[in-house]
Amino acid sequence: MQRLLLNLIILTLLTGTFASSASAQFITTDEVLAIEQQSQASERVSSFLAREEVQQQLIKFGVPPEQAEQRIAALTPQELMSLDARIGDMPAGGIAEVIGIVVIVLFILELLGVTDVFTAI
Amino acid sequence: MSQTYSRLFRVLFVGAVLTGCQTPPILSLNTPLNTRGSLELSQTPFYDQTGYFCGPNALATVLHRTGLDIDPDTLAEQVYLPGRKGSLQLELVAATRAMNRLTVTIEPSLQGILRELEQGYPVLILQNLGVAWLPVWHYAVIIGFDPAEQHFMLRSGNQRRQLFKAHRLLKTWDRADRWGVVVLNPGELPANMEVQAYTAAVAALEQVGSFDAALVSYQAGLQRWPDSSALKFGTANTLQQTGNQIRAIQMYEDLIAQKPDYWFATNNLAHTLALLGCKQRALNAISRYQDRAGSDIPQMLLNTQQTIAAQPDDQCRHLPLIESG
Repeated sequence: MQRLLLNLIILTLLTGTFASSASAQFITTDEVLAIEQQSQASERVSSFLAREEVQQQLIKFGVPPEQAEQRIAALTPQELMSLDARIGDMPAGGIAEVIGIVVIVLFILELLGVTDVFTAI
Repeated sequence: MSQTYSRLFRVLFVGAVLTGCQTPPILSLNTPLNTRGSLELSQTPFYDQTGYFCGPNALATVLHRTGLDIDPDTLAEQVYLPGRKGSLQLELVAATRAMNRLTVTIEPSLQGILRELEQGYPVLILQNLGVAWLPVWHYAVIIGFDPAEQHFMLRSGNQRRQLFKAHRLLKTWDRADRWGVVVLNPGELPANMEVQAYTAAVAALEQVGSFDAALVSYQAGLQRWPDSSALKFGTANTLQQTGNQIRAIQMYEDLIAQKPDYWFATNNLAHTLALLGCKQRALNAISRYQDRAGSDIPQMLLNTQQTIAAQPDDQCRHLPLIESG
């Protein structure tokens, strides 16, 4: 059953991701690692779509279009898929400007020794 | 603004302790961390943080050890996301690849951090300085540890040498799923002995077309993990994609000889042979796998077999030295 599932994943992965060149299909190292970890391999069918999507989202989040293209080029299909799904809620390290009620809440937590916002900045 | 709060905080904090209010809970680590004496990579540069640029700053800090001296403002063009006022982990890693560097996740423990430091690698970590439901994400670089005081030294924000007690650092790191990485030159190996972490980093380099860096890294990895199929397969794949078909074929065949069940190698061997016009040899390679595996053939390998079988007649003239069936 598991094997069948795996074959199915691989089949979709192949037919979807790689428009066949003149010859048989080449399996990339990255794919084998994904297959071995059974992580999101099937989702990669649409990695080409994800590329376009993520580029648009980077632009939406304020990245100049020509830089967005360069940044996309450094990402693997698997990373593109994760970004496509979660770019809006992945941790974005930067220390946001802490404002309003948030300051008060964090401030109290800090006094209680729970957080480290104000000591760390 | 932050400095004002920081000062105000210190005054109130001292006040709170003196008046007997709740003191910070002391989280004890099971056993004290140990290193051979104090450890500090003091030559690590410091870039004072402006705005929300802790991502570019931390990245510039760790890239420096690999021989790259890049201004954080320049890096910001590759990793800063204005709409999120911060940088994503994925993009930090991707940016190092674009510079032919290798970013490997560390073993997610304080011991893991120490081991990388002992190798001379500063460690870039993600911290959540707030709480789970009110996160304050921050990147910092760990550059040292003092076993007597049980504190880490960090390059962080606008603090050149921030001291962080081990148990407090662990709290902020736990809330960020203990994400930590080292950035390496191709050919360097991390202290982390997990072959998967290393292989994933190299495979990503290969995937985005940094073939020279990938090849050097695969070969370095094979020195430490000579039995890793994935590292051999990656080496062969990289050779294959850079026009070194003959060497690639030899590596696929070595791998198949050692691990006949590793059908990915059979598939790519057949694919490579077929590209060179060696249709019969390609089909023979698949047949040998079939003979072993019986009817239990991965669908993908069958597809490859069909594609090759439909190719024009054999024109195998390129492989005088190779006896592949």
